[in-house]
Amino acid sequence: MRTAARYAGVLLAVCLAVPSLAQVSYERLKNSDADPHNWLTYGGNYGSQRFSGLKQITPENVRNLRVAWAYQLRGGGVMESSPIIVDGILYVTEPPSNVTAIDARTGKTLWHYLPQVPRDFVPVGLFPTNRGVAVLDDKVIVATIDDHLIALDAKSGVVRWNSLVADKAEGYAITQAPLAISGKIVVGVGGGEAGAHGFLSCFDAKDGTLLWRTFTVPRSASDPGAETWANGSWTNGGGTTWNTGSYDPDLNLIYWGTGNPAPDWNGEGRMGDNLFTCSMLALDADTGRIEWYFQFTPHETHDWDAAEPPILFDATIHGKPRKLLAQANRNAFYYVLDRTNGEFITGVAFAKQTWAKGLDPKGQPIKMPPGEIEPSVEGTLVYPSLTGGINWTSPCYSPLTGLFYVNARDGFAYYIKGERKMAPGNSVGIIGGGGGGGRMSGPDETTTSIRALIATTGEKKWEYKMVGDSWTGTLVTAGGLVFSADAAGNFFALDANTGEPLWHLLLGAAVRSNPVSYAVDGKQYVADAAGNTLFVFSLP
Amino acid sequence: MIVHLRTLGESGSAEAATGDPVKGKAVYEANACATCHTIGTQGGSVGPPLTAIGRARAPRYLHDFLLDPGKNPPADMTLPERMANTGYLLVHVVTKDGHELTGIRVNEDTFTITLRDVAGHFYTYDKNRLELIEPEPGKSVMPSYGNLSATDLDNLVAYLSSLKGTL
Repeated sequence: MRTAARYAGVLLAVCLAVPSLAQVSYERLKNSDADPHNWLTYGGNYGSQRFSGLKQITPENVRNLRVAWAYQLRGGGVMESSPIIVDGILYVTEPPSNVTAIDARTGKTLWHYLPQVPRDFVPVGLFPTNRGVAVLDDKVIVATIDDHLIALDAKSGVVRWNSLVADKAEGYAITQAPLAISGKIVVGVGGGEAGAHGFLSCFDAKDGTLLWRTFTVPRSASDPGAETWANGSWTNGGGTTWNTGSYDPDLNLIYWGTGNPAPDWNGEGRMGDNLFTCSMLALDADTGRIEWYFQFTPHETHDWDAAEPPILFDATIHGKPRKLLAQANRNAFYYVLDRTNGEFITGVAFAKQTWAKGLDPKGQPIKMPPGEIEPSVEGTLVYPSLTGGINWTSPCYSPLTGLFYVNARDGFAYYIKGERKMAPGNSVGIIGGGGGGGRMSGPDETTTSIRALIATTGEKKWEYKMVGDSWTGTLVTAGGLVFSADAAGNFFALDANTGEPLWHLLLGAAVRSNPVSYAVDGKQYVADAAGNTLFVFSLP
Repeated sequence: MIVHLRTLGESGSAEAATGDPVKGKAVYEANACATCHTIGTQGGSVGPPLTAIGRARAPRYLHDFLLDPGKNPPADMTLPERMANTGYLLVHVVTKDGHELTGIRVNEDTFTITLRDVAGHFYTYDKNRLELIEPEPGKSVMPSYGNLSATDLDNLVAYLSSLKGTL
């Protein structure tokens, strides 16, 4: 009897421990708002809103939140991955490009995949990390630091296809999560400090065949935008696409931000606007054709990439319903565009900036005199810093409050101009891809704050000031909470309506990732990584 | 995307000290500097260890620092996230029930602050229980040594500059 009872217990435990393995169809991805128990795309939905419809955890009970389980990286490094959760299985990436599938209820590892990344490969201008996977049908897709796009079997981690996106010898490297749409996987590239020419690629989800590739900077004198690079300086490269974009299924448009022109901090040899760097691009998902663009920072010289996640939402502006795109840009301005055509609607500084008097009616910056803002040999003090008013971490948007929540950085740098030699695949200059660099403001001179902006106007409704230089994204829930973390690793919850701090827990290391929320078996979880550990929280 | 972080400290190799390091050691001992500083394995821990100070700091910096210790506080190398020039920052706090303390900040985040007094005791406060948090940049628990003669000062600087041991 004892043996039988023991076996029965084992069987019961097995039944509880094996999550279901459902397919993730495009229809599920498209309708992810109706499926709040799962977190199916990098940004939570195609609009990158990072809004969870779950409301079990509330301002009233969040003080009871505790760690349900934790998962430590198998290798070294800091976890920057934003997990994907599908029907009880959590997929997370580890530096440099590993993938782990975990039982989302218990933290038990289900499988682990280690791509064959050359040990001697050191990417230029970026850290060898990875920020997440995409899922589509029965596959989990990861982009690797050495420029491969790899589809894994969601049940086992077995490789189904492996496609080369770019040549790492030319300075390319990938850290972003891919974007899965109907039958396609879209992925960008990093390497703007290495002279890489930015492009966006689209692969067939079935077998990894390249469907289209669109460069973001000219490749010849006859390409669009070549006239905005004096003396053929488009050969320098730039405009990389290193952070995950968004998608509007109804318009069939992909929205993707582009990075700096090269070299970064010395623009003398590339006079002109340098299209399509530091821009938002809207591309036809079937062809890759650029349907419209909006350049935030023409002739950029401070490394203020426009790679920050574009958040898509609909709202009424002056009595008229509009399809909108909002971005908190690294240049410290918050922009709202019409996502059907790129029309500028409004823009306002969301973090401290000293480089522009403001924006003109078309959203173009009215720059301060060059002597006050351009990098110089001795260093020019400008707000924001090289790392920007925001960097790669994600803001979020709640359709319930109409607020855009951003972790805003108020810091400065002394911008230094250096040599402007470029050699694809190699860094030249003080740092990165040449042209100079910057001396950053120190931790006690930098303030980060969670700011809640009225999404349609950018007007600040509230802010929550933190100590130090936080590098954490934000999550907002239907339960009325905003989750984020400070520089010391305090993971906290704020009231989404007022910014009042309601709960926090010191996780023991800096949090450099974006929080997510999901539910399994009727229990809501919130997950975020600190240092080398993924922490998952729930109510008792 | 990469940050060129500010240089930590100042190189000790840019210039040579002009004093006599042997006489400087006597100045160090006469002024009881070891009460607060460690050289090798001997000394106190209120201030930073000086075992390798000659590698980290130039004579000019040491000279100026001895005259006005609060003016250019050393980096706090024990806290990487606070590696700028705010080590040994003095902070004055007043609790909501009226208790006061001024101490060296050893840790601060959004929710708490931890201070250390000269006796080495640590005090951690929830910020929501504090009435006042007042950083005191420019002040230091270390006194000024402006009372030393110019010769003694130069000799002390020479002694400190000669300390290039292994940490």
